[in-house]
Amino acid sequence: MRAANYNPKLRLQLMIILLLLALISNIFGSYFTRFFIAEITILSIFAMSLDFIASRGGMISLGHAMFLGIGAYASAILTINYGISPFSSTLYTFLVGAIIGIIIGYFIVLLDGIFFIMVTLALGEMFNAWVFTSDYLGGSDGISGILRPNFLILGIDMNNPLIFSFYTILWLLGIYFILTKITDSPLGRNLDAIRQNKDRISAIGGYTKAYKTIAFALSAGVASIAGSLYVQLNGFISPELTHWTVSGEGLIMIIVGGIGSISGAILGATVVHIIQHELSNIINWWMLVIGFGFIFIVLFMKDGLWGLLEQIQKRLR
Amino acid sequence: MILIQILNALQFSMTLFLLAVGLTIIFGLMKIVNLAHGSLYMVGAYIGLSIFNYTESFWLALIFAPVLTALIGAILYSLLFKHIQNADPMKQVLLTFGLIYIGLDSVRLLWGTMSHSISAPNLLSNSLLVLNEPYPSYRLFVILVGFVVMFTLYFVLEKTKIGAKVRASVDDPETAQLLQINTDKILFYTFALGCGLAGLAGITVAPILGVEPGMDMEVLVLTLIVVVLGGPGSLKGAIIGSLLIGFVDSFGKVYIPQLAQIIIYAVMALTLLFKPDGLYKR
Repeated sequence: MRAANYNPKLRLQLMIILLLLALISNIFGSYFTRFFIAEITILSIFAMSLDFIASRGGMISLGHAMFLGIGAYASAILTINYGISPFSSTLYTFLVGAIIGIIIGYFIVLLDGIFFIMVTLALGEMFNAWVFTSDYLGGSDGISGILRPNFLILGIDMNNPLIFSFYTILWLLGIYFILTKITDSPLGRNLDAIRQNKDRISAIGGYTKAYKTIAFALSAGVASIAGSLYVQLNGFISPELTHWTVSGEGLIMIIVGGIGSISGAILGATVVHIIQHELSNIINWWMLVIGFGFIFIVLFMKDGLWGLLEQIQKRLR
Repeated sequence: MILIQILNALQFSMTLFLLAVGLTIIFGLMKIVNLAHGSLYMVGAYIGLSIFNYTESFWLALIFAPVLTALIGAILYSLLFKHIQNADPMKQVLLTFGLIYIGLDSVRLLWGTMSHSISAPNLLSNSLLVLNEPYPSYRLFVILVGFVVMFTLYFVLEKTKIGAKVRASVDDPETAQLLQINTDKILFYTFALGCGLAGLAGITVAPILGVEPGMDMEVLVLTLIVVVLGGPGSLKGAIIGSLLIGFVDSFGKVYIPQLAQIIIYAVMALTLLFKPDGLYKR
């Protein structure tokens, strides 16, 4: 697997630009724009979780929508059935996702590229099938009536889309901060080394499996947070959320943005979601256009939009 | 009653086999996971539908749908797949994911979003008595087609010189090239053949399940599971895998409908836990 993009300076610059764009369009946008920004922010969190394991860990998960679903359902059940506040439920979903991530990761992290993809796909579909048949989880109807966090004591109304968008952006910033710190830390370096030559790292006494499992669990936890925020945004869960094509779209986002750059994942999620949304408003054969777009990017833009930005950065220097 | 179940399971297994065998050989030769394999199955069914509507002959559809699907496969190979061979799996996944989008929308634009049906030919529209149980003869025909393809492929791959060349290219492409085997040509033809078999699966199930957008996704994951379970690149694996999944799925749906889906994935997870390379490692 090729080396992942790593350029902390550009990463921060891109992040600041994206953040400013989000804040400006949130403040001046309409009701709908604000909702849309929250959606993009949540998808960005999901994309970052995929980006982290794909780039640092060399693990391409086609089953990550399962963790999105775990976060969503855990959050819903914790708030509705156990009366835990929506805000703490998001924190708990991280734990739930990460613990399930450790258990699954323990068995699968050492599988090779394509087997890893297939096994995650199968596990994700298994979860999807289970969700559809489980009465406890509402079956094909899903669960509705999920509340947003309540900060009225502080004078903050989360049902205002402006506020909720800011809230999701805060989560995004926190997760961005943690993931970049980890990427730059010894753990990140270790993961890079393991991805490049797993056998050599085992030979010199490195803990390949443990590090990869930690990375997978972390990513699972982050995806669960995205799931939790997603249900709070919409107020309901549809089991469609756990379909494998959702994971596939997440992977598309990170390759459009540029794998391994973290803020590139956010850029990718933003661009893909806007294009999907706008295009489907204009023409009804948008999937055709997007399909060709994916193929173009895979064949001709090795590092996605991030690669373009790096070239621009070099020119400017 | 149990006999009917067995025959249904067998028919489903054969459809899975037609799909999985193409995918597994392509994987063995090119190390490519073609997520768009299900789309070729759908396109095959739709092409068959058009031929059937124009000529009112099921038999012409049965012959030309796979041929045209193979042609589409050949074009896709030359334009795209040739260039992503040995690329990292991420790229393969995304490129073929893009093809799923294109396949689904093309089908919608050309044939609409309605579901269509093809009637089985007169010769096969009645029921036969199998051990005093009436059973639709068309389904028996699908089972027969599956077995014919299975034995033909087995014979060609194991007993002929061309088969030996294909196996050599799967096992060790570099050495095969040194021995003057034109692996590029083998790749081209096996890729087209694999796609053609997906088309055959599509047109043969059309009279049973109908033709509709989204039929690609229904079979894709099961086919991938058959391939991974059997061991990618192995014909025997595809046979055993499709029988296993076909039977588990069909019997599961009858006896434990709530868990049927989950059992399939559980079978796969357990198999991979104990045999990480699939049942038949090449």
